[in-house]
Amino acid sequence: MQLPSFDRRLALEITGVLIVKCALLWLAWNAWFAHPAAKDMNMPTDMVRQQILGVAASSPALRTPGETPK
Amino acid sequence: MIFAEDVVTLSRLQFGSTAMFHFLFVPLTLGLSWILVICESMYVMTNQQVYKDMTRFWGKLFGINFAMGVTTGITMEFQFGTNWAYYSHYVGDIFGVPLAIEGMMAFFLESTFVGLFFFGWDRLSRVQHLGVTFLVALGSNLSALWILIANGWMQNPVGAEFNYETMRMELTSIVDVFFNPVAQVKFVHTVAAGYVAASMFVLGVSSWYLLKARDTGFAIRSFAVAAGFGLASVLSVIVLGDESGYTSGEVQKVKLAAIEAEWDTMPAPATFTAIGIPNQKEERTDYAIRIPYVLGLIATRSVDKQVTGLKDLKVQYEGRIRSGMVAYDALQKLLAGDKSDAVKQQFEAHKLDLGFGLLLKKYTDKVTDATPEQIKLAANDTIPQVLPLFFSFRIMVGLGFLFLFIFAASFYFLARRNLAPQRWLLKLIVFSIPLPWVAIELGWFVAEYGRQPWTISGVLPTMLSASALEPGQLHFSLIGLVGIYSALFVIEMYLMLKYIKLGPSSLHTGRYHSEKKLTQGNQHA
Repeated sequence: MQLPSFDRRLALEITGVLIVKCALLWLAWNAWFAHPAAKDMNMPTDMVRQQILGVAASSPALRTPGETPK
Repeated sequence: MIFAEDVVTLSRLQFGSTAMFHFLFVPLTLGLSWILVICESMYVMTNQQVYKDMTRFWGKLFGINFAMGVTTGITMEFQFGTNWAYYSHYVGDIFGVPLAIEGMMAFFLESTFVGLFFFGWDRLSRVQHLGVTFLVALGSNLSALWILIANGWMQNPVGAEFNYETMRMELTSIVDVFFNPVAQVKFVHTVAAGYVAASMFVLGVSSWYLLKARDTGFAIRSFAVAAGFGLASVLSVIVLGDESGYTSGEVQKVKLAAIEAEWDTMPAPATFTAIGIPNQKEERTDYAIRIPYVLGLIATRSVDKQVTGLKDLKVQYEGRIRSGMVAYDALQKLLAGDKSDAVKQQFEAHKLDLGFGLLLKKYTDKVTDATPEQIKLAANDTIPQVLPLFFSFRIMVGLGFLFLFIFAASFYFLARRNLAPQRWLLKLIVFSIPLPWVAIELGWFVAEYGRQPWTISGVLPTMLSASALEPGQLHFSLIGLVGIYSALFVIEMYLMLKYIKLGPSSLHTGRYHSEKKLTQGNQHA
């Protein structure tokens, strides 16, 4: 399909940006999000019980560094 | 304090900043798609070439924005599983449905037809192409519908029930989730705000062409479409915003009271605090200027119903926290294997308050033994920070009325065929181009910050929703994502400005500004 020269230029620009964007998003996923704790929005039920009810929650997210459960 | 707020705060910051970046692109897609439908409909009805040129030119800017914005929301889905694992598990059964529908139906519908829109001009009949443009608009708006159904459920979790065996909320009625009043109001309010943003964009760019006295025939027609569509949209936003206030008064009483800095329950109908300085520590609003009756009328649509103040809501929530402690106790027994009828009944009677009991985990591991002091602290946490909500809301509303003035004045002077001398108005419009985005971001801030301390209102506290990550991991990903999105935003601005400066000349029809200048230059040479 023949596009007017400026449309062709815009199409090239957008294609370039899309490729770079996809590459960046893939890198971001690979670097920071490739190992989700909740795969397919599911976690082992025991871990959730521990988080919600755990008397001595082991999750580092739940405590400030160096702090022990009361 | 037991909880490492670093991780929760960083996760919130990351999600919030990603969502706000993503929503820089969305409003223009939502609104510009309908403006394309209007322009192309005019072309099909009148067969005037200028309307085709308008569709193609604004379509070009739509294409740039669509390409920049598409997939920018996907990082939020990455974050659900990684940064918000407990939240994801807790709500996956409900939340996954609208997100999956959005991904499969609306996204593919939208993307397919966007392709046809650009490459179908010579292959489709005029009516067929208009149909494609209509489906682009429908697809992008449907995308917003499913996302806002998911978000509306976080604000008002209906059609679901907690299952202690699986430790998650499970769907009981998909109809209730889809027809959640909060989601419905949010959807129409949000898309109408997108229409206002797109209208202001087209109006502003057209005003700039008019100020420069270039391509005036093209600009005045674009201006007319944007003024009409914008006026209808801004009126919708204001009416639907009022509806949103009423819905909040019904199901999100704390958010409403916080937005209005309504500390005490006043006799009906409640006064509206137009301006003042909320003082959270003293639980009062300093230097308040109040307008009688207005809040009562907006929030209750009556003159005899009260709007409950924050102090009274806190007292109510203390009761719910105590009830939640009973639910927590029953849940512990159930999970320890005591499935007796008495325990089950105890849990059933109090399970709706389990989330309130969980607020105590910020202060003690032994929720069932919480002290009155800890209960008071947890009840205090149910009230979000009032000052930022109060001012964000007022700026958003103030901007809404500015937009109403701009669109009404534009429409008026256009109808009187007296627009060109109103250079003050054209300049005001050009400078107002970014303001709808400011209003929209503030609207999202009010909606989401006002939901705190919950990720799911009354069900799951934010502090229990975040994953077990190290702050360092979140710092890196936050900086990385902000970098990526900032770069995309800069590229979007560069491409947009480049094609706006070229104007309809970029269509290479030979009828517009730069090309004419070029032809004249050649002739002179």
